[in-house]
Amino acid sequence: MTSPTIKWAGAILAGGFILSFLGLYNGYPSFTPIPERIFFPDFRAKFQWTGL
Amino acid sequence: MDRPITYGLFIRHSSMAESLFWVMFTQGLLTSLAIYFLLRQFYSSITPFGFIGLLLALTACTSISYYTSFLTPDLFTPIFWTCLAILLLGNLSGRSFFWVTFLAWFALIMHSSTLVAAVLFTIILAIASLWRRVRAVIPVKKTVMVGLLTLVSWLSVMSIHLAHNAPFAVQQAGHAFFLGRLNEIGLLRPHLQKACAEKNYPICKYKDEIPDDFLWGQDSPSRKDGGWVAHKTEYRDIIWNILTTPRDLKNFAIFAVNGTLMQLAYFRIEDTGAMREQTPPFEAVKQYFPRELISYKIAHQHHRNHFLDFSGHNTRQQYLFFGFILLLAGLGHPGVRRRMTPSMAHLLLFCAIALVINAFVCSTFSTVVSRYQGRLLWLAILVEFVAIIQIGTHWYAERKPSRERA
Repeated sequence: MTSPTIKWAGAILAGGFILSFLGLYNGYPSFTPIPERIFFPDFRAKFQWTGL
Repeated sequence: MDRPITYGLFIRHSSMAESLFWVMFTQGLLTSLAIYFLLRQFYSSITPFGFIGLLLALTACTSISYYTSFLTPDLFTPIFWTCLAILLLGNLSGRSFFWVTFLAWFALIMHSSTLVAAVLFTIILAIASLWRRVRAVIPVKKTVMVGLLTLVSWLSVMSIHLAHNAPFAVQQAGHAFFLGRLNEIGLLRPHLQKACAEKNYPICKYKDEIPDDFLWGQDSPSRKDGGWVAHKTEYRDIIWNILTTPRDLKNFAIFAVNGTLMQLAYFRIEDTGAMREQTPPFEAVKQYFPRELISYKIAHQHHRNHFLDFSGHNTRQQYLFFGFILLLAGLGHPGVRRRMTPSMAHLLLFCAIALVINAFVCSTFSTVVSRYQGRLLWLAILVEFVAIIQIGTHWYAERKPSRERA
C-alpha cells in the first residue's frame, strides 16, 4: 500500500509537470518581450548575472 | 514595474547552470505546491487524483500553464496571493504554517509590483480590522503577521540588492515606470510645457518630442540621455509636482479608476514575439546554455512557422471569469450561500479583492497590459471550481433523500 504522503508527493510532482504543458508545447520555455531584465535584472549594468 | 535581482538569482539556481527547462519545471512545482496547500485547507476531502484533475482543468481553461512556462516572475504573484489566503483564512498546523509562510515570502521577494500590492493590502486590512465583523474572520494577530511578512520581504530584497553592490532599495527605475504611466494618461506633456518655463530639467530638451512609448521607445528621452537611473531625482521631482497640482491629481485619480477597471477585464494571453539573433535572450542562451541553442531555435516562439494559438484558452478563461463574477453576485443569495462553507465565501471575496488590488497597483504605477492580470486570474477560477463542486455536492446531498423517498 502506498502511503498518502507518497501519493500526494507524486501528485504535486505530476501537477508541476502538467503545469509546464504550454512550455513543452512551445518546445522551450517562453521569453518575455523584455527579457534582458531577467538575465541581467538591471540591464543598465548595475547588476550582472553572477555565478556562471 | 522594475524587477528586483531575486528572480535572476532564482533562474541561476533553479537552472543549476544546466538547463532552462529546469527553471520551468521548478516554477510548475512551486505553483503545484501552492495549490496543494490551498486545496488541503479549503477542500480537505480532495484526493490526489482529484487534485490532478483540477490542475488539468486549470491548464486547459486558464493561462496558468502559460505563466509557469514563461521565464518571468509573473507566476509568483498568484503564489503569493494563494499563500496569503491560506494564512489569513485557513487553520494551519505548525509545520504547514512554516512552509506556507516561507513560500509566501519567497514569492513576495520576486516581484516589485507584488511588494507594493502587499503594502496596500496590509493597509486596507488594518483599516478593515477596525470593524468587529472583519476581526471575527481575520483576527488582529493575523493582520500583524501579514504586516511583518511584508516588512521582512521588503528588507530582504533591499539587503539582497545591497549584497550585490547595489543601493539599499527595492527599485531603481520605479520613477521611470511611473512617469511612463503619467505620459500614457496624457499628464506629462502638458505639465512639461508649463514646468519647463520655470525649471531647467534635462528632459525639457525633448519636451516637444516625447514619444507615446516613454519607457521602451527608441526615441525616449531617457534612452537618448543616460538611461532611467541617471534621471531619478529629476523624474521624481516632476512626478511630485504633477501629483501636487490639484487639476493633475484629479485627472490622475480618474485615470487610476479607469485603468483599474480596464486592467480587471484585460487578461487575455497574447502571442509572444520572436527573439532572434542579437536579441538579449538569444545571446544569453547562446552564452550560458549553448547546448540548448538548437532547442531555442526550433521552439515555436522562435521560428514562427506557425503561431502559438491561445484563442481557445482565452475564450474558456473569459467565460469562467464571467462565472466567477456570477458566483460573487450569488453570495448575496441565501440559496447559494448556505450551500458553501463560510470559509469558501470568504475565499471568493478574498480573490476578488486580490484581483482589484493587483489591477490597481499595476495600472496605476506601471501600465495596463494583459500579463499583469492574466497571471493572477487562475486563482479566482480555481476557487470558482472548488466553490461549484461544493455547491453541487451540497445540492446533490439535499436531493438524495427526497429521491430515495420517491
